[in-house]
Amino acid sequence: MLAFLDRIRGQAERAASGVPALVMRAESIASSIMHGEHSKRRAGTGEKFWQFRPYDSSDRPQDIDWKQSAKGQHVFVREKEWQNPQKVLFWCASGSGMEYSSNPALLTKHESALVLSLTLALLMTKGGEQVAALGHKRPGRSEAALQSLAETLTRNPIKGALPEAQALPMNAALVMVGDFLDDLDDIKTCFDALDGRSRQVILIQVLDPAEADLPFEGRALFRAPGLEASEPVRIEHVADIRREYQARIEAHRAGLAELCARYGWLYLYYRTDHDLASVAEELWVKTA
Amino acid sequence: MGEDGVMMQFFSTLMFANPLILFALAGLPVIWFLLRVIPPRPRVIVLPSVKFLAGLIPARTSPSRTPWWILLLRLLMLALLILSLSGPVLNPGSDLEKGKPLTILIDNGWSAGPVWDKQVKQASQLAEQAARDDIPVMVIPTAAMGPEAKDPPRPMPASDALAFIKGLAPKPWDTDYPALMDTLPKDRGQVFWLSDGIAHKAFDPLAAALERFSLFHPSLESLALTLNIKHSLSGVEISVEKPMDKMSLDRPISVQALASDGRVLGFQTLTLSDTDEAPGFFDMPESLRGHVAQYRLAGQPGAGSVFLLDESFQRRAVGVAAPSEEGERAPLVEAGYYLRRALEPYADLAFAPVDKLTEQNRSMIILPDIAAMPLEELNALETWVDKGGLLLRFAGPLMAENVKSLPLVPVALRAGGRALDGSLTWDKPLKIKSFDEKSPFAGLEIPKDVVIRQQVLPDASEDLSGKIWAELEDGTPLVTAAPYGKGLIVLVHTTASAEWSDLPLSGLFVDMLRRLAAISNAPSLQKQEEGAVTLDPLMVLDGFGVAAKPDAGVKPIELKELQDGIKIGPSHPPGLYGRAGLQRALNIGEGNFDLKVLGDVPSNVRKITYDTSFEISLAPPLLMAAAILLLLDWVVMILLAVRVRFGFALVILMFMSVPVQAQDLEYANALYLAYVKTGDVAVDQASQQGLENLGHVLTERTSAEPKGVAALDIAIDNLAFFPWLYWPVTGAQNAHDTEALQKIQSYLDHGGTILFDLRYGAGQDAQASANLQKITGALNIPPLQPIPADHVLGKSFYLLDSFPGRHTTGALWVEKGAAQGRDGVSSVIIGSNDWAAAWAAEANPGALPGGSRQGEMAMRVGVNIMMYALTGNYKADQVHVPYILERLER
Repeated sequence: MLAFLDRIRGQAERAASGVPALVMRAESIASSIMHGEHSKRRAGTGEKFWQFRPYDSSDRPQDIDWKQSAKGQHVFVREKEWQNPQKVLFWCASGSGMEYSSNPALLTKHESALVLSLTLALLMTKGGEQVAALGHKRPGRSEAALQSLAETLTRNPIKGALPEAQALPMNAALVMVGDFLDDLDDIKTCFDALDGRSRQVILIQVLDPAEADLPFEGRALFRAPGLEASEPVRIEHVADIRREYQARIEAHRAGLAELCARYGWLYLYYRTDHDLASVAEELWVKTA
Repeated sequence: MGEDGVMMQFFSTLMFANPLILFALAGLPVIWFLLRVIPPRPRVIVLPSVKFLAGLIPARTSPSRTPWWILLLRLLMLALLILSLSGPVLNPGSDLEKGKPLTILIDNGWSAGPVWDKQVKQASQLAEQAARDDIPVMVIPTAAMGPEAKDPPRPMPASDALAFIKGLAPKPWDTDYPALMDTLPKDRGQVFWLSDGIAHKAFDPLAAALERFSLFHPSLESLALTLNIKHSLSGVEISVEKPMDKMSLDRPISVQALASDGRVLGFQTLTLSDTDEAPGFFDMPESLRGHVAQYRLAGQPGAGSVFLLDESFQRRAVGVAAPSEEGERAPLVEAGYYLRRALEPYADLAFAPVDKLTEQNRSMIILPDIAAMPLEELNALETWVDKGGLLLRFAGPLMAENVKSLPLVPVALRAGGRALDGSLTWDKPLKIKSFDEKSPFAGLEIPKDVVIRQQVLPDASEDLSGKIWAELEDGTPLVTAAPYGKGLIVLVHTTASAEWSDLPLSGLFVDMLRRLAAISNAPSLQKQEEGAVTLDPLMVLDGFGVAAKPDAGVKPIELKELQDGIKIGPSHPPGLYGRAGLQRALNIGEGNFDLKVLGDVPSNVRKITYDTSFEISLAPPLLMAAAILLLLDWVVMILLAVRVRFGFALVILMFMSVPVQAQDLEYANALYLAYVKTGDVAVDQASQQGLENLGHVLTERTSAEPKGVAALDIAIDNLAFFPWLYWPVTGAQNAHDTEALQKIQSYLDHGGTILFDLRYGAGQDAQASANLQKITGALNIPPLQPIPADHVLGKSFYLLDSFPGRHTTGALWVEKGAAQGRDGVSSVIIGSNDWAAAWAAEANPGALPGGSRQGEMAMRVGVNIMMYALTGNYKADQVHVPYILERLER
């Protein structure tokens, strides 16, 4: 852990980019959450001691535990618990919409998504899982793998509002973080493709409080961020339509949650003004 | 009177020039409506979830409104604009009767100085009104006319009158009402008299002749005052004459003492109480007093508030008779020493033979114990005293022996003197009796320890009554005096040295001499010139009391006229008159002008005070307020639109200019080597690399540790921080513009050194020198010479007899002769050996024809140049010569 910290600090000095700060944040959140291994409660190829059992002709001689055998008449073999490390792939939405925060004091949606992803990745590697960015490199559980994930997610953001199903290997778990503000139909098409490849999917929807609440007054001209010009929307009295807007957003979220439930995926909602640690903890409890 | 009354009074003094415009105020509600209907610009809000807003329609269809306070702000702005356009005027001027010609009398005598602004303002206002009503105007200044203006006043168009009024100025002499009465035109129409508040001579007859008129007068505070200064025994007396006996001014009056060059030497604040007629005293060290050229009432313009000092106020010229002008031979013993110490701070002192002193026309001549003198000198002295000089004599051993034929003494003396202290006398040394009331020394304190040990005594037959100015305790005289002609002879019956008494050792001696000097006066000029002496005007005062050159109208004054009392007028304005050796001042404060405030006027005269009568246009302040509101509105709009980013941008803007200065700061804080960028990449690279290498070598071997290398653009960069510049000359460089040339010249003139490197080696082609000529042609460079064998550049660090670079044979030129004022450092060094290339080749000495040896020598040249620029000629000191010689021989 310390070595990891040292390394990312060193990198921070060199790269002077936001990555280390985000990783630090993720680590501080992760360290506050209890974690454990995905024990399978049976003998297997794990690290942990499981049981001693008498030597069998089918066992390899090098598996004999000589210390234990010397205590009695029988020859014992040391068995370890069977642990099944999972490959977890991470995907963060990017794009101009994600680079938005309504208040300079808040993280942008993309930053929040990164912190969430890294926190989860950190916790998972502690739990013995192998992590990687979707479509990048081989998954691993080493510090290097974590670092590579962090760098990939921040430096080479994945283009596109939704993940590409082809990039997902079979039977790997997927963590998707994004705002998922696209039309539900598009999302469904994408998820259908994903569903064929993986059963274990976590979807975290990140929204800015301004997107959730529309806390504006008076006369305003709303414009989507980024260069891709969408038609600006002129509203004379923002206060008048606030409730209606909130209902629409709410409906969209409900639709997304329902979609996830249909696939048996885990759906989580996070507002950037809420406490990151609590969300991460909830996430951990639910995935464990 | 209640509040309504006050309001009524206010509105009665308010008038609108264009009242019709006020109807536009009725349009304000319409504007209110319009402003409410036109919505404010929508705020642009960036929101990623914008598509969820599409198609949402607010319940209220009307656009949102501008906030009420912005509306109020804008309406207020408009209202102010309309009000200001309607031309509101407070205190509208007194109405002129239309059709009747206007006559304006302006008092522009010496007493108009303090009121003049108000008079001109009022007159202009009247003329402007007349211009509006198209009435002819006649302007009559009341001061006595100089000989140059004889035209009687004529009616003129109001616009001309306005120009005429602007051209008027107060005169430094009195008004001339009687003359005015003679020229007063018949058809006067309506008469306005802009007086200065002083009842000048013949005011009443003129008022009677004018019959009906309006009289403007100032408030009491701005009436003229006159200043009079006297030097008396008790100091500088200030008397200020007031126009009213019972007049107390709210403000204290400050009297300033000015030197002849206008410096303020001191000031004294007086308060004029109701009845106080006693003069004030100017508190000023006496040594400064002699430098004062004039006193003036501060903040009170006018010829009357200036008092010029002439010769009679100057430091007294005192002569001490001495055999020669060389001064004393034996200090502490001789009388001259004590006299010099006592009088020098207070008088213009000279030591000279008697005939010289009388020639110089001194006001007091001191003879310390001189009994006899050549006849010619005696005659001259007698004439001088007869004309008014003060002769001060001190007794002494010589005088005591020669009493018989002693000329010029106030009392006849008994031979031998009287010793009060000695082995053969019974007497004790005596003290000085306190001075009589009538004595000029009255009031001086006598130190207790001063005793007189020896004195000369008057002859018994002598009548001493009235002649004794100071006595000893036993009644014998110490100082006697008697008039002689117009002059005065004073005898001190003891010595001016400490031989006979302690008196010269005490402060009393100084005080007595000062009193005597103060009562002395330079005798008038030689007899043959007297009566026919004319004094030319040297400097005159104008109506505001400002010194001016006398114009042609000012006539010289006969000395006799002056003594008889001359009248100040157009041909003799107040000022300084004189000729070599004689100066007299004419001051209004000394003149006998009546200074009396205007009394009662006939009942048909309307009296108006100036300050209440001025029109005040309210349009400018209203417009100003509207403009401020406009700015406020603008700021509010910006803040609403941009919010936080505005402040942020401002902060960024504030810091935009910082980096440039930061670089200068860096150059100023450390030593940098600098070269001039030529634009030729190869040359610049060589310069950069070469200077960097040189910097390393300097750091290794010397205590000069350059921090880095600066590449300079002559046109842009500040050169001041670098001890020397390396300037490689290429053909591509253009002549610089004037500003850059000035910068280079200034750098050279203020101690900078430039090394021009032609980079061509020996047999330099003409092209290179032409290039150099192009750069330096317009610079002011001292004559140059090929470097002499013993030049400091050859020994400032290493001992060098040649200066190789990449080439070895090129000549080096330096300033001819020791550069003045710059520690012998040549401002320009010109060579052609391409040093930078040699320095840059340090890592690869094979590139040089002479190999690493040549590289090392080139580096040494660089070190020497750096040392030369930094330390100057100190290596040229003779101190090092033997050592250097020894090394050279070895």
